[in-house]
Amino acid sequence: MTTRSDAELLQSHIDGDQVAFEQLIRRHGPALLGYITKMVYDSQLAQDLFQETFKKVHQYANSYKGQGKFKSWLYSIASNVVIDNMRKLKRQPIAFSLNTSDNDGSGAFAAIEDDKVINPYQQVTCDESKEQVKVALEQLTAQQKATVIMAYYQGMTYKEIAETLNCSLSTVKTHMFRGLKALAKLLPDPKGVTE
Amino acid sequence: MKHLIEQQLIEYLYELDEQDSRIATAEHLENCPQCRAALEELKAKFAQLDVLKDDVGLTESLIFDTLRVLEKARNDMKSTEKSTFLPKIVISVAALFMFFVGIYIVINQGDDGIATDNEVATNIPGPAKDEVENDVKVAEKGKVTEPELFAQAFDGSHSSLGVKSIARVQGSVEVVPVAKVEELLAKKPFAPASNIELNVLPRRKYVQLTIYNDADLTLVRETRDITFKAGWNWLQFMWANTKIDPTSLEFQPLAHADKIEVQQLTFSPRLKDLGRWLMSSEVSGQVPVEITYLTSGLSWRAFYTATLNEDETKMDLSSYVRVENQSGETYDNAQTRLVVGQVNLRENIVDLASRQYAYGLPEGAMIMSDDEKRLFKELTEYNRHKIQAEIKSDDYSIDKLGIVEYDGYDTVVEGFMWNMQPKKILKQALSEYQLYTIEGTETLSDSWSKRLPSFAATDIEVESLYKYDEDLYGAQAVRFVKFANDAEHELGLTPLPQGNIRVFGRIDDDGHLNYIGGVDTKYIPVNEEVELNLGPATQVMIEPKLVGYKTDNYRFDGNGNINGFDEVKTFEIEINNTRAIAVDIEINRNFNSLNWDIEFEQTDVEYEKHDATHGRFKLEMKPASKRMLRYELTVYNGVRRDEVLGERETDRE
Repeated sequence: MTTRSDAELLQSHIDGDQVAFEQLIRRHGPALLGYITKMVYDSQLAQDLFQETFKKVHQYANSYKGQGKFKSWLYSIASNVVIDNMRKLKRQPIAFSLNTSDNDGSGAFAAIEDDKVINPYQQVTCDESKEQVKVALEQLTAQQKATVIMAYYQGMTYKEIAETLNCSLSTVKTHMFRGLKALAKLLPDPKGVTE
Repeated sequence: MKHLIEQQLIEYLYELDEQDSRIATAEHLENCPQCRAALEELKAKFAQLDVLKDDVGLTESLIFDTLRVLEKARNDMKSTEKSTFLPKIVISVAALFMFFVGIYIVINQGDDGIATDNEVATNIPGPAKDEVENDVKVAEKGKVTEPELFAQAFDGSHSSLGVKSIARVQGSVEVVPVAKVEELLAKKPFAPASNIELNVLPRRKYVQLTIYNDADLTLVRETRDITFKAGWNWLQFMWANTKIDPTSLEFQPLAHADKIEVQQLTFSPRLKDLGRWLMSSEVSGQVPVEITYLTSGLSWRAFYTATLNEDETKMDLSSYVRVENQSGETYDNAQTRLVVGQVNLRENIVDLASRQYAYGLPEGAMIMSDDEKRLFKELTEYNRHKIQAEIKSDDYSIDKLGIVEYDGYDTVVEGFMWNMQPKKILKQALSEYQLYTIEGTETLSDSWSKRLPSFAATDIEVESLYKYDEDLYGAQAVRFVKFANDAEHELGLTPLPQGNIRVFGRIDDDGHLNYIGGVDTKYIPVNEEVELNLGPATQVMIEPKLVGYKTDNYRFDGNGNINGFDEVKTFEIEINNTRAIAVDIEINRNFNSLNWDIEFEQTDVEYEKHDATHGRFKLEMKPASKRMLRYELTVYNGVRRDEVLGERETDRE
């Protein structure tokens, strides 16, 4: 059986095929969720924005003419959804949840329970490292962060990022460079306990 | 040598530089260990970003949620289309009007200036007409779309146990060729895709509730017609806002059972109150299926009204049951059965229903106790063959079910409830449980209770009994009505479930009643005597008095000290019956000793030694009569106990 392209799946969805959209979600969802999660640092919010992204894909499905890569179009929508959300959050007071357990060592306990790691200390160290990276990424501008995440984690080319962010290739490179330069200062020196 | 700066290293590392400078940087790095070290350090620093790789995974539930959001958006769009339908018509009509005006102007400017209606009609542009028709179709379709109905079910407004299926084929059942089925089943079953692919199913075709009286437990058995397609099918159910125990859910096709197989039952961890069956089907079409589960929140209680005749020798007894539904679910036209018996529940069903995860118990823990399982099995199997027989006849009417063939009050039960005849409650023994089936069907709405007549028996022979027992009731007579649950008393066909009995008496020939008393009764087995305690008596007085006391038969030890003697007490019991009817009297006396004798000479009074320390007098008092009982009690103390015991043994020899 031949695999249908993204454009074909989207067109099938428009035509009423009831499984096409699910295939699109399954094909692009994991990477997209990773992108959104790294952009917002909140897994629950990321899931909401993930749903919002695909809702918009459905709403604007007719506007996709297949002129560019579906992936770029999808990430473009996701980026807009995320940035819109960031703007909204800026207008709202910051709320802290008492249930948040990002850095309370619960990851270590969970890891022990899941039998994923042998050494709890290793897990705690890993949690700390994650937190440091998250904090560092948080210092970047939205454009820089989006560019770094798409390039570094999503493996997108600069051309694809340019398509996604609807800007020139040189602009993307500038965002990337400035983002990396900032990270070089923000990230700690790679030293510490290693095994 | 001029070393590379950080900007050059970053640009080189991430290919941000131009081709020329890239070559130059590479050449420099080849010859400069210091810059190579700096590059490695930078690489290591950026490598820390890797900790966030592979940090998230896409779960099935998120896919499901996303598809649900999508479906909602789709419905919203349809609603929008519907709301914009009217303006579209207005615009279309306006366009047509303008078109007519244009035509009219053109024709009037023409040579003859005359146009027939037909000519005008044929000038109406086809596409514009089609657009109007198409709009109408869209609007009508949007009015009652399946997803909207389905969304209602999803929200719980249609049915809390919103069972949904992806199957779409309607009509008769078709057995699909094996090769085709194998081909279909060879494909991996797709994940349930939310409302997009789910239809709302017909309402319950048949529902039966078996309410267990002593435990908060109800077995629900419902039949629905589900349309399957050949291959994989998902069936989704939800129990939000109900007290249904999801772990008890069972699914069984009532037809083509060998061609429909349940592969798995899954409960999504993120989606509360929702589960899905994955089934493979070799048939396509509509198949009746039975879904069974346990719920809590339904209860019933028996109430009795007893009416005594004027001389209190006979009693009419009527019974009804009140069924209360606090289960969170409305059961329309449900056949209702009531069970009396004891079941040992390890957990409350309501707790099972309200917990976060369907199978949240520790691994290996059983959900049902043995008693629960046994009851569940018995109740589930009980009428299955009858239901199946009914399915074959393609008729689901309750009155044709074999359930009414019982050995109860009425061997033939006619008709449904539509004739407004009082319903009968049919009784059956079920293992060690007693089953009461309410005739016909009832709608049990959530948060409502309903009272249903159970049975009525007339002219039950009763005895009015007055008891005097200071240990139990204090120094007063207490009134009882006594009868037996047996054939002699016009009863005895079934045990009587526990409940509340209110007793009334007739006070005149016009049938006026007075309330005598009420009492909660326990479960009354067949052939068991019943004594209804109606409270303290006011018209029958019983008053014991100690009227004489002496000591006798003293015994002394070697030192001249008393080591034994008899106490002789004389009692008189005055009994005054002010009522106009004869009554039975029972008087229990506690002698507070194990060694006693009684002298009692009245032959018309029945006396018996009730137990080691008690004596019992029974007599009948005539209407408006007074009499005195007199007895002498001798209590043996010290060595006198042994002497009397020795004398009795000698007498026996």
